[in-house]
Amino acid sequence: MRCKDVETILGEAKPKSLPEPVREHLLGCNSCRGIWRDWLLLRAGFVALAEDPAPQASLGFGVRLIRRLEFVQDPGSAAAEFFERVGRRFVLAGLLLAMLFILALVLPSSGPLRGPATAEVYLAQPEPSTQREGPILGDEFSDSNEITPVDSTNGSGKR
Amino acid sequence: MDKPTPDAGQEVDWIKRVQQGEQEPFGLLIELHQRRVFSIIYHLIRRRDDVEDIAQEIFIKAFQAIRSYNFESSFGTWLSRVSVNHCYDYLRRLRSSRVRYFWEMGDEARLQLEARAEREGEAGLNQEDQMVLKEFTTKLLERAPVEDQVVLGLKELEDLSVEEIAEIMSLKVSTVKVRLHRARKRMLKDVMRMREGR
Repeated sequence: MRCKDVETILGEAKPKSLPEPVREHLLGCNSCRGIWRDWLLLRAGFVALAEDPAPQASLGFGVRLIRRLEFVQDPGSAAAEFFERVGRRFVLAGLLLAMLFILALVLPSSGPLRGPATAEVYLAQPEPSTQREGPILGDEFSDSNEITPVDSTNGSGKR
Repeated sequence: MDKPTPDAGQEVDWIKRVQQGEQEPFGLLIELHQRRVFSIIYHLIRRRDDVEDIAQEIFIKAFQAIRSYNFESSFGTWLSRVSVNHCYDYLRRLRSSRVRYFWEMGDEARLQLEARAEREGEAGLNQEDQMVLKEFTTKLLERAPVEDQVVLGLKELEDLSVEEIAEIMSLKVSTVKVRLHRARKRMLKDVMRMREGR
């Protein structure tokens, strides 16, 4: 048997019920015999401690305890319940805010989840004209007193 | 148990009444389970003078948390779990003192005690030997990590089965076995270390 296996068995075994192969191993192995000796010492200590009777409750222990519970319970239960409820809501609200904040950081600046607020908006703007448009019906029908441009091709600029 | 065990239905009725805000039935539950709670505290903390105060704290904690008891395990197991958790927290706050008494014995006296422990096995040590061994084991337990103290205390001192410990500590049976094995090994190493460092 290997020392490791023997050590495992020694921890579980009762002093007078050691398996024969373990006994044989102990006879030839100083290290395991030392462990066994220490373990017996410890076991004897455990037995001595276990036999030590636990103290009894003193007279009126239960009555004193119940009386103490009256003081513990009233302020404790109402306040504890209140704080528990409020605290739970705070935690949930905090978590929700944190989640929203993380979502705001993680999501791209445009996409299906983004509204039109940040998207580029193209409004129809009048194009600035570079050339003055002439009246549709000719100058004769125009009410304006402005001078029409001079036709440079035939040289008759005067009316 | 201090009083004759009530039938399960009666205990359930007391628990339900306490869950609805009554205090009086809790007194009956205290009487029913106080011996078990005192035993756990004493074997895990080993401070006789503190046991009653700690028991009060445990029962108050149990009273305040009784609405969370859902009848899945027995009330005794649930109360043991509350007790063990409380002791665990208490032990974490305490720190160990060094092993003294056993190691202050002369070589010859120490070897004689070891020989007697080996020869006598589980029984038959005289009162003086037992005192020395108690002191020795107590000090070793105090030096051990809190997890080891709790699992060894429940197994070796409370004499609970691995299955019962697993239920109380909400662990798998295999996990408890591994923890026990490691705790024993660490404690034996500590004995050896002390022996060598002497």
